Amino acid sequence: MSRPGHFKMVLLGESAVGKSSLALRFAKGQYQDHAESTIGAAFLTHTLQIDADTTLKVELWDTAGQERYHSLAPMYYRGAQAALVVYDITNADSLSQAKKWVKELRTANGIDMIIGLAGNKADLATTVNKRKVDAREVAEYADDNQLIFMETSAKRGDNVSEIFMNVARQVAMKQPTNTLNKPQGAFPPTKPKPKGNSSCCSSSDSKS
Amino acid sequence: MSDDNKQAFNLEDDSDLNDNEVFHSDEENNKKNQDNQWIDELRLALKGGCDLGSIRSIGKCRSLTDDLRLSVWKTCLNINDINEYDYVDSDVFDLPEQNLIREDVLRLVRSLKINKDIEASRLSDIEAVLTFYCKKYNENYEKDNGWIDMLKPLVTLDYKNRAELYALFVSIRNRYIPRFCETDGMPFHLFRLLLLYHDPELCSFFDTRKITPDLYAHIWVRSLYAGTCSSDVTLHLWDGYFQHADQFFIFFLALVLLMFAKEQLFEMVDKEKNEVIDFISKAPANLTTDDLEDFCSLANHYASNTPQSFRKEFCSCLFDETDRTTSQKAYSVQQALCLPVSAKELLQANQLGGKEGVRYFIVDCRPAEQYNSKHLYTAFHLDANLLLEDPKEFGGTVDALRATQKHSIEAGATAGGDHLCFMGSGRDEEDKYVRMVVAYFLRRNIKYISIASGGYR
Repeated sequence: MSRPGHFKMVLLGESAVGKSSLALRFAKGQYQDHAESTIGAAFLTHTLQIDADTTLKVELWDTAGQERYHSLAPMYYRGAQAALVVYDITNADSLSQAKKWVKELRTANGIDMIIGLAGNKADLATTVNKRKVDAREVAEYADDNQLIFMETSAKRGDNVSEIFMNVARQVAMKQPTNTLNKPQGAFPPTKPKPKGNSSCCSSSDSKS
Repeated sequence: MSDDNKQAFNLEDDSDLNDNEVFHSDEENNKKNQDNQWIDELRLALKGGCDLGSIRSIGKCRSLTDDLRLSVWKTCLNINDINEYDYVDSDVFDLPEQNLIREDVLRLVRSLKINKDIEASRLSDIEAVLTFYCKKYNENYEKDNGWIDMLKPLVTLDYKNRAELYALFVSIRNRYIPRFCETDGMPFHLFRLLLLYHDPELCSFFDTRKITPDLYAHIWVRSLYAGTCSSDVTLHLWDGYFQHADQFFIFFLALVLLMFAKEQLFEMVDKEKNEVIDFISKAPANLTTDDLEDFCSLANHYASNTPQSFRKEFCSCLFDETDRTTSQKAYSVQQALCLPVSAKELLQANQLGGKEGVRYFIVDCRPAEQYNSKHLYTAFHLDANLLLEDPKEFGGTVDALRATQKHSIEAGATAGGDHLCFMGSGRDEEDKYVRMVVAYFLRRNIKYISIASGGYR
């Protein structure tokens, strides 16, 4: 189904939670104040070094949070192996919206899809009374739903590459080895590889 | 403006306006004579009981003199002298919000700076009209609902009695103030689509800041600009407005106001939302009577450069109290990615050709096999699926499309047009691809984007 060494990932969440900022930080290491709202969806790619001999190219669809584009979301998450659902820690409603997305993704794509949950704008947590979402509660919810959860700050760069990397590692673990970006023919196709325990991902840091 | 031939609401080539400086005074005299001529002509026509058509052909949407205003407005608004609005005079002022009404009326009348006797009679006239209106339509008077602003220009007229004042007020409200001018109201969603059509970049600026048009334009729309324009400007604006008699003109005027302010808005990129709203909502206050001609001809230019079918689609739900399709239409306009164009309009524009009106470049986004089996002969096929499968290559295809479009416009081909209309199959699942493509174009800030409602049939 997927091309070797590539995987498709989608960013979802309410408008203005920082999806595009996370994508920009992830792909280019940059941050932009006063970024414009995304229209439709933006497409970008970034190659990750999972470990010494595994690279994975992330094909990322950064979707628009505005409600009028919601009906298009399935176009982008259909067939995606991973998703990063984003909320804003200073906006409790955005967490409810994030939970709706998780539910929708699980219904559409099943338990196999790797889903990350990012509580963005963590840099604002230090400002008095700005935080509206408690991290421990979300961590519990994330555990119950098999989500990779982290609080992130696209502005400062905190946890951004970490959460993408963790999602990518889990995708790599789930993908059959022969679809990973190894030199062609390096492994005989007949070599037995139990799913989720392939050699390239069995190193101790695969679940960090 | 000094060109006598230039009609108030017609944008014409400015070239013949230049190089006439030498003859300026001559021209001014000429202008005066001709000014008087059309006014005399209009006065004569009014005496003979003319209709809106003849007023328009003589008046050409120009500003009127004070003595003609009331009778021209009455004719334009179709008000006769038989009290068709069933006004019943009463001095019983007993609404729960009566104090609020009285306060506002008092403030209004004071601002008119007229002598005490007239002031007293105007005061009771306005209160009587507002009170009767509330009772008759079972509506509550609210601060900022625009009614008091609408009455401001009306009480400067030499109206015959309260019934006539009432008739003017009701007629303007019914005809020209769209229904649902409230937060999240349909007129503002429609206006957003018009803004998106003409300036996606500015629309995105507002969307990003979550500034919906109701936040800055409600006072413009609810009062037909009387709430923010100076009294003089309102009178002259309404002179033209009632002659022009276009119910949607209010939106195109709003569009011009935004365009005027665009540069300043873009400089407010790091300003607070409220500051931006405050700035833009006051925009009409800067208009002077000298600006009106340009203001209106630009609005007219936008109006004629916009697909027409949305008017038919939304006219009755915006202006007809008995319309029952409103909630359904409100939802569709709120969810729309861009302006819809009816298939009929598309086909007509396609057949007429020529340089007049909106010219479309039709982009057929149906699956290839459907396109191959039958399609409009002028339509360009764009494989929407490619957008998901290979976004980079899709970008290349879009560049090719733009080049083809440019080329066909330059060549004057029937298929050429500045306006991109996207067409799907009308089937929901497939049309999601079309919407995706539309969003892609909007993302690139390309203007004049529409979608063919119902798809290919």
